[in-house]
Amino acid sequence: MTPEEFDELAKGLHHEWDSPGLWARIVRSRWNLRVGIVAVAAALLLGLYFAAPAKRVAAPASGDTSLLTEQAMAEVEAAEAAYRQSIDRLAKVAAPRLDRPATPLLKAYAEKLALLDGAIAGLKREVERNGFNAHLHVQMAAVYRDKQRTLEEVLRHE
Amino acid sequence: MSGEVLTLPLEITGTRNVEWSSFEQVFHLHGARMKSIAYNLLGNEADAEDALQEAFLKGYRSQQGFKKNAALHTWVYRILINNCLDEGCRRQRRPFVDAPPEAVPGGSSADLRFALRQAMSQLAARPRAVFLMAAVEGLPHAGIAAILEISETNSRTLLLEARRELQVKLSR
Repeated sequence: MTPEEFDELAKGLHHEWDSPGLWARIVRSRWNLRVGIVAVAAALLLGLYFAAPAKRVAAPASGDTSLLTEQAMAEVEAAEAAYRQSIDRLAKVAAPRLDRPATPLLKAYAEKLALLDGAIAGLKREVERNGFNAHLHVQMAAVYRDKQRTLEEVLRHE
Repeated sequence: MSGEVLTLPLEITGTRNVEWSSFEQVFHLHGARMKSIAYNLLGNEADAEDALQEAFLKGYRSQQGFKKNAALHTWVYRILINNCLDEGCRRQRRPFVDAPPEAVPGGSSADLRFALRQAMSQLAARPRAVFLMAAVEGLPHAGIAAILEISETNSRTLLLEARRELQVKLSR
């Protein structure tokens, strides 16, 4: 076989076929992954809450890092307030797109945001009962972060 | 050295938020070529599509490993090739599902292609990756060097080695 024939043979290994739904599948799997993360976080949260009743106390015990001190609590609340302000601003701008989603992806974002709102509401109820539990605030921050990113993606979506 | 896994460095040099729409652009510009590379490493279209999906998701999820001065498509190519080679090693190179059961070198062009694929699967990971990208997909050595994080000279040398080894295998 000559080098030219070998080159032609090698080029013949290139293989093309149509995959019309592949990009949509990638987009869907990305969204499913994120929803899965929120679901796992929520399950973890519930597991922590029900598996550790002894930790459900109103004030921190010294040396227990799973509970917040008064000062740390104030800092966490300030950070959460900043998140909420940022999210409120983004939500106002994104509202027209989400109220009447023009694409399947925007519709998926709207559904995801509804799910995140549900998770936030559940976490808030838990925080009201046990505000010094650090795990609850970590979960709350994760869900806020996810909501903020989702809103940013909605605004970037063409 | 058929069991070698090509582990390309996914070095963390900084963070850079890449929008999802940039990944979509990469998919539209490079998707067909990426699918072909995955197909030639994994042996069937369904697995190639799965590998592509995983590469894009992994690329988006692990953006902290993406170099600031690198092109996004090189990052996705690198993840794809690493994944396919890992997967190929796990399966111990399952034969191509759409290939004839027995190839006859010197026979029809389909037989020759099958024989070349079989020979290629016996190459070490790096020469195999370079051969696929250069000789099959026509990527320039500068691009291959960026994807594999090697020098262009190294890329050319690996291609020569691969060609020589494959031609010997085919002539047997």
